[in-house]
Amino acid sequence: MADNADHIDGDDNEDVRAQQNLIKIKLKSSEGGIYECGLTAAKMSDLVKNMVESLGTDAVVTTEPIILGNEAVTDAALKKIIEWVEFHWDDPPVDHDFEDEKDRRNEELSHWDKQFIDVDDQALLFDVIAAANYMDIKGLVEVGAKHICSKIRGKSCQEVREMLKITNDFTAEEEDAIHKENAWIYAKD
Amino acid sequence: MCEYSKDSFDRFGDDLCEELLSFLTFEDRFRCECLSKQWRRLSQFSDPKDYNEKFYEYIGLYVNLTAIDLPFEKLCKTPLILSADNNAFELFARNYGHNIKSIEFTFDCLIDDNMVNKLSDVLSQMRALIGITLNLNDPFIEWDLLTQIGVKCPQLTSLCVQFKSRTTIEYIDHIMGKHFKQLKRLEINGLYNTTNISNDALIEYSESQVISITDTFFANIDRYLPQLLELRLNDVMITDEVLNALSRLTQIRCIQLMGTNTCHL
Repeated sequence: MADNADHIDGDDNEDVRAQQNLIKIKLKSSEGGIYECGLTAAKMSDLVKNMVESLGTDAVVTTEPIILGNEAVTDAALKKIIEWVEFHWDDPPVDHDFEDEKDRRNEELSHWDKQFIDVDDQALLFDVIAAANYMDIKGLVEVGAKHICSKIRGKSCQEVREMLKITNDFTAEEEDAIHKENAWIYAKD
Repeated sequence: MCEYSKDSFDRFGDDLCEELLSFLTFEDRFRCECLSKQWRRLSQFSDPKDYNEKFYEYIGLYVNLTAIDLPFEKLCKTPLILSADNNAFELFARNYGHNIKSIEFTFDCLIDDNMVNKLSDVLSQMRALIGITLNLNDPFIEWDLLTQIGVKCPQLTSLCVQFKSRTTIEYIDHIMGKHFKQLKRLEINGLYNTTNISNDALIEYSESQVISITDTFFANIDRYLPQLLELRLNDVMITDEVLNALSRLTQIRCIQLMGTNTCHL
């Protein structure tokens, strides 16, 4: 990740963020497991951030677990997500300048993220992505998206379908028609 | 959601699916359109409002005398033909052009006035377009193309012009003085590329003229291009005046100047 020493986000400067991350809050999965997470890290989830801010005082935040009711937030998925936010909470914030945005989208995943997201259990991988989406952690959804897209790269339709277990709901005729329509752009396949 | 298996991609709703697919390459997107009805639906290019503008940020087109090729060799066997009696590029732009943010043309041969008009008209209809790269060969018609683009695409924020052969810069002052007010990024390469020209041609080329035109351009650069963030030029006489002029660009973040290496010094 690039250094961005210039950045100070209002009163949310680095020291405050670091200090706040020492405050531990509790997150509860849809399966009932309760896990601790640093406050700054947990606030990478817009969902958690909004809940924490609506609760108000730290006292409430640190005693009562925040319930993440979506079924994708399993114990295993939540543990993975906490691992990710605890690693990334002090990343420099995203610069929305359009050229940076484009570069960022094309940027390869970091070594850490690659290892993190390379999960053999596809059900868990999809749980993590769906849970990150539910919890509104944009950076993690992006990591999942890049991982899936890198696995799709260069594969044929059938290979992708088998890998991602996608149901082909086209009739043979419909599939043929799509191929014909795109004939100008297909060279192989 | 629960009717789908947890390890099946089918479990994802349209919003998340679309977000995930937005990271696919151009090539993979086309190939994967036939995976399922959901993928097909989310890959439709026809309605720009529903369609995520993140796709098709970049498309390169290759133009020679009569043809435009998509440079994705694996994808495209059939070239798009651009000529007076054919509107392939117009069709292409109408179907796919709404979301294209930047486009690259390579011209290998002369193009005529008609093609200049047609090309610039089509470009002007590509609403999302903010960046153009032109790889030019013929100096005269293509300065005209640049002027036309300047008139018709005032929203451009990025312009990159590469000359493959020697050309004049008589018009750069004129063009930049009137158009491209929104430019944030300007790159001009090969203005007086000396590698391919004979000694006679070099002598014929007036040194003083080169320098004075460059100076005018630089002297006014902060008025011509007030938004400039990034400037890359080669074959520039780097003088105190030039550096002074550049210091007046208030937004600038990146400057790359390649000094002249031969005859002007």
